[in-house]
Amino acid sequence: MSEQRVFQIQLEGLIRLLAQNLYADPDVFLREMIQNAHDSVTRRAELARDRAEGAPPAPRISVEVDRAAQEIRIADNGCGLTDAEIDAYLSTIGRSGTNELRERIVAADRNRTVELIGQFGIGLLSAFIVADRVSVVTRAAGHEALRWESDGGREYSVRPGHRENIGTTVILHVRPEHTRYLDSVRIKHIVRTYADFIGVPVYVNDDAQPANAVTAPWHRTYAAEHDRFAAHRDLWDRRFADETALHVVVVDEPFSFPDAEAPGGERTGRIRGVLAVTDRHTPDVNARGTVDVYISRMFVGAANRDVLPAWARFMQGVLECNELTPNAARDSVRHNAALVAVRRTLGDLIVRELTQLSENSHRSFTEIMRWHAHHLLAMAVQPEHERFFRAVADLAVLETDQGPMAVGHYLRTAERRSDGVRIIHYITEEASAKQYMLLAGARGVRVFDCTEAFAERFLKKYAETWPERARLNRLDEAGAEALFEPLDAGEAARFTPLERAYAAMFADRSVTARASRFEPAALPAVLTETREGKRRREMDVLAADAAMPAAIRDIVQDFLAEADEPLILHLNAANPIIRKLAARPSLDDEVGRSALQSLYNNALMLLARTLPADAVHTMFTQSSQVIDLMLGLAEQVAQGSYAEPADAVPAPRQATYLSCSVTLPEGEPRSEEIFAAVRSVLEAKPYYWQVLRADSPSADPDLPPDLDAPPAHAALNVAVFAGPRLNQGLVNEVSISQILGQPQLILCDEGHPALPASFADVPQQTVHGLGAVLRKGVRSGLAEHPEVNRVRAYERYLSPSVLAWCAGLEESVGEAVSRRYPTWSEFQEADSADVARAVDIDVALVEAAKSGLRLLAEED
Amino acid sequence: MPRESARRAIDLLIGESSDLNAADRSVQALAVAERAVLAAWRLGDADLLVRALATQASAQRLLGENSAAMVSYIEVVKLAKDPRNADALADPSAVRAIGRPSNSIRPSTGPGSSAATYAD
Repeated sequence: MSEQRVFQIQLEGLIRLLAQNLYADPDVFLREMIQNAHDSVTRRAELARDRAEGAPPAPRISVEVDRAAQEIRIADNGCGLTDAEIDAYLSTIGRSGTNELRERIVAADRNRTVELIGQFGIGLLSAFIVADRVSVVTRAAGHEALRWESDGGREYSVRPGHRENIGTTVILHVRPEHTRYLDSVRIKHIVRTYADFIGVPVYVNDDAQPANAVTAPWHRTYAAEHDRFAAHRDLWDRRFADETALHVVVVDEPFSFPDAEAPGGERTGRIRGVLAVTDRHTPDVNARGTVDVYISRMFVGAANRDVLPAWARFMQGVLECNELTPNAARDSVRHNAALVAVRRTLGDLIVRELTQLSENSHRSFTEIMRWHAHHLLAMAVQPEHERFFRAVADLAVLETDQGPMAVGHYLRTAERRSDGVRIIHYITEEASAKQYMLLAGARGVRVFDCTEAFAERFLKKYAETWPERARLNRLDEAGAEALFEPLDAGEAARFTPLERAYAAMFADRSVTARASRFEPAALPAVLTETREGKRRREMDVLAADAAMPAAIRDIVQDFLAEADEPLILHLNAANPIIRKLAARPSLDDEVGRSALQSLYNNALMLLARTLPADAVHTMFTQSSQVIDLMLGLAEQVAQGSYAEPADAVPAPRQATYLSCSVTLPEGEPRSEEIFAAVRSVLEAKPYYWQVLRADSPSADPDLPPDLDAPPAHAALNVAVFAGPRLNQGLVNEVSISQILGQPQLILCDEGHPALPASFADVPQQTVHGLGAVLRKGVRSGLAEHPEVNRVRAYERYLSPSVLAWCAGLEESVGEAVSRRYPTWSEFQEADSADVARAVDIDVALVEAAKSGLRLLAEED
Repeated sequence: MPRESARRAIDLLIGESSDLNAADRSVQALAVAERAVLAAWRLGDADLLVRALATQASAQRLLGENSAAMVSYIEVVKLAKDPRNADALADPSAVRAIGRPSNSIRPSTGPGSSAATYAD
């Protein structure tokens, strides 16, 4: 048998204990007082409505700071309290008059919503955070004024009071340790923080203007949409003054969520406010997007991390949602079905907004991408954001060996297979990234750096979605074969002794040497590892982990005991040292062995693999020997007895001429005419520039990688807009160049549709006609461009068209000459016989070309 | 953490077996898959066990060991049907592994493959 018993409460001290421990921030005492005042004026209006009385006076709340009396007085012209209500609500902890009023209104009319804030009936407790005694002077309509007093103990007193008008004044007798609140500036700040949008003006002391804004932008009506946007934007800018909004979104979203007590099992609500993509970098994986939350006009908490989806780390804003439920301290929101629905609704809104932005304003979206690429990629790879992925796929910016680059831009200049599919090269391992970027960069192959999470997933999703556009090649996992050119049988035989020497050195077959040709020629040897090899290396580490269960370790070690996957040591047939080594009669002497070991060790380090201790010792010894040799050579040079080896690798030539990169819409014949006009102007007097199509490979295979990349390194980028439609790919290119701050000129054919307004700051020239007319328009646009007119020292580029003009050389011959001797001076200084031999023409033709160039130079 | 390193090691074994299968090295693939099955079974991890069994079955099938492949597939289906494994098998890679048998158990023109063999 059990019996029901009742909890006993020792009220003495409990009120103060609750007040001082419930709230984290003592400032909230004023929020609670103002909120009670707000509910009181709302209640008065409701009662007047119920009783069909005339409209009550305009709501007003005042806060008076009285330093002399050590009091803060909060007064309202609300409905006041009767004697019975004082006992029922003011003096009963946990009973909320506001809640009861809310329920009564809803019971009478489900369609009516009244913004009442109070909920728990504990707000008055907060007065005891700062006060040792609280007095309430109140007068309800048709009743005498009453004065209630409590010191937070078990008892309170009620006696007749004095108050002329209907309403309530709460008097806080401030404790000595909280006199900092007897400061009107501090009080105004608290009012603005917690009650800015409460809907009732809050006056502090004798101020003529309220301390709060009274209403939020989303509570006002506007004559025009741009006024509404401006008001929301202004709020965001003022609230987050230390940050910059990259894109602002006005929020006014309906949503629904399950509620078993609601008719139909579902409730509806609305989220209002303003969100923005910030310029705040959030590298911390635990970082979240944050919002300042309001519920029923009252501020609940700043920087709430739970309202936005986890991936929306780049968003920040201010939101009001009356369907969210505050916790008892009202500094956060409860995790419930409404919060889940709000988060989902906001996620949909953000995706929708960014999708539209990517479609309508490439420039803005690309800029956002540059700030938040990581988070946007994370979002795009989620299956539920398929539309977003498809919209932004080409605009997504990933890191490459040459800086950030949009995927679409990469593809336009990427290697194309015979079936038209472009190859995307990428790496995922940070440690070996430098090796692969060095190898690929030397061949003019750009590489996406996917060491950041989500980048590889994004590329994979791209290739799966559009297999006809792109195919992936992961360089650091058995994908680097394309970088190594096989040798023909005759040449390969020259390196067989070298391969055999390595086979002898690595009798355990852990390394297999293979000769091939790769760039840069200065690199003698590199190591690559297969996927299997990588996997075994990781398993080695795992098997060595003491925490690994023995039963599993046995199996792993059993597997690892089998033959290992060898590392491949690629020997560069283009490298003079490798050639010399291969030509040696024997590699089995000390010099030969040291050289082989040294080349291997260097390759191992380039792959970012740890060297064994004995290898480190060998390297230091060899390094000392090399330094000694260098010192000896320096002495020989000083004595004039040193001759440079014939096959030393030439230093990379620096480009000393200027080039212009031209981006054209594909398959548009008119753009070809304009391109030809650009060439005829810039390749000729007085400019003598190189003109390249943006998607063409470099004309000079010897150029170092950082110059082998039009349009990123061109002195000027020209975009040609021609044809009946606006080419979106071209728009993207221009937008990206704008953001990168590259010099640009737009040549727009007459009759072409209008260009985006965002291009207003890019120099533009409208062209028309053919032949001389077209060239005149192009020349005019170029002549007015500041970058073309900039004074600087540069050499004249030797273009095929100049060679055709000087000596009637055919285009293909001119191109061959130009590739070997890209500047006038290099051509003039070269031996004519060498030139003739190199490009397979008569020496007389070379002489004629040189003579023609000299005449041209004299004319200039 | 010990479980995590063990899981990762088994995951690597499964990856190794799949790659060997793809490279037409099914004998080696089967040897690695058998180790993965044993390790996953010892660890008591349904997700890994399903994936290891599916990889083992693929290797067996490529080697023409269809009866053995059938046994492996049946093990996969049994594991998938066991309600105790519902949570563990929610992982997409496990779901794919479970889905594979239904695609694989069909008449094939490959060596040693026939509907009759599967009906044995």
